[in-house]
Amino acid sequence: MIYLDHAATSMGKPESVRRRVLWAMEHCANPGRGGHRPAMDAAEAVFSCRKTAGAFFGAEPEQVAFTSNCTHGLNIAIRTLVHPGDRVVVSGFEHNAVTRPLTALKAQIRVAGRRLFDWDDTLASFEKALSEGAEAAVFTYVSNVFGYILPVEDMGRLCRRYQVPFIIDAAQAAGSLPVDLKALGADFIAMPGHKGLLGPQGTGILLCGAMPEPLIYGGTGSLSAQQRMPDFLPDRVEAGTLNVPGICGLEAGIRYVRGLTPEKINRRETSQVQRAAAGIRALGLPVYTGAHQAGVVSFVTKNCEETAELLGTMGICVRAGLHCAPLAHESAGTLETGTVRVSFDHNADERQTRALLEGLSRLSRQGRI
Amino acid sequence: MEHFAETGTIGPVYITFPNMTLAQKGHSLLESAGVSAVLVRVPRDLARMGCGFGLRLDRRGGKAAALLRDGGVLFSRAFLRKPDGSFEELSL
Repeated sequence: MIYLDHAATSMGKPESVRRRVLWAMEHCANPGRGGHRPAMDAAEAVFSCRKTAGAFFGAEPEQVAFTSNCTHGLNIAIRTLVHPGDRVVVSGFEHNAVTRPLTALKAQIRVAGRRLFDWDDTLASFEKALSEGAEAAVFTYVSNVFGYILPVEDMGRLCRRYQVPFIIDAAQAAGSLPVDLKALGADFIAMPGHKGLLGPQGTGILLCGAMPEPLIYGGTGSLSAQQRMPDFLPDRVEAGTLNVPGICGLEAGIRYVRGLTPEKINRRETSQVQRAAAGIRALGLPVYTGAHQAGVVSFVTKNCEETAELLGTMGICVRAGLHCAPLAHESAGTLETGTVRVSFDHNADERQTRALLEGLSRLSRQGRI
Repeated sequence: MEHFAETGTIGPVYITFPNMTLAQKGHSLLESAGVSAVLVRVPRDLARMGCGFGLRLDRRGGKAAALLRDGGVLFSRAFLRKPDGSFEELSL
């Protein structure tokens, strides 16, 4: 099998991740509740992940809140900063994890910057929208459909200049691009644990540069006699039992990524993206590439869903459709067709790209794409 | 679970924290500074709002408090356990 759907979730987790999940299932009770050994072991394991993640992402351990996925973190962040009717600036490449919560809140969504791989357009449009007034901004670091790496540092600078609090969706960036809460100055940065960080599914991190509002209310193991949620981190947004096996696996994943370094992972992924894009273009298919591209590339065939299905029968796993990001497709002009998306991981190599291109060549010869 | 029934000696000192994470952060900071401390679930008397975690130290509360403050780790209060088993709040 050639798995090229890492933008959805990573597969082939490191052995250290599997070992750590198993260890937690065998040794850990409920962290922050009892004071007995298995509970304290669990608490120690959870704190260890907070420290590791905090050091990796420029945050204090308590600023690392564990979530069940990136969407969960984005919902907490959005519901903290955005109120009904607020004007919210977003990029033209947002996922439904951003636009649906904003829609549910009846926010006035201002889309800024729709040209792919064009930082000048992104920044100019973004600044114009901020200058017209906004209560918050939410933007993705990397488009999950096209791999476009947005100029998030400069976008953050603009937000600070216009005194607009902001949230970064780092779903496709964490693990392969620098993510630093202090350096970016964001109010919140949300990320999944199961994609570029190689942790188990059901894990995520919300880096809190500001005090979040709870999304879920309940027990935290602190201030139990009080009926209000604690007003300190991370308890305020961590009601209920944590996913300790997942968190333990996530720490192992972060350590693995840290060892490889995001820089090397990014180089490896983008080199295959460029190779794949050149091969796809040679087949006469529209392919979306440009400067500032991460390990994701999209292309269009006469029937994207069918193409993905046919590749699947050859053991090549890619994803077709809208990828839960209709706004991104609207910006790129692919809302009607969708795209076929190919996404690489830290193990990206020529063998994978060659298999993809051979599969597409076969379909092309058969006149099926 | 740590036990709190020992009597007849002065101390130990308990430093309480708003939550487990900050207690752990304080523990990590003190250990790295060479100050030994044990992360414990604090006695009910010291957790007025219920369910508290803290650090138990062997009579070096002043130094520990200074280290915590310098390290920016927020702690709630500090107590000395008296020989009769009662607690006296300390101003550290």
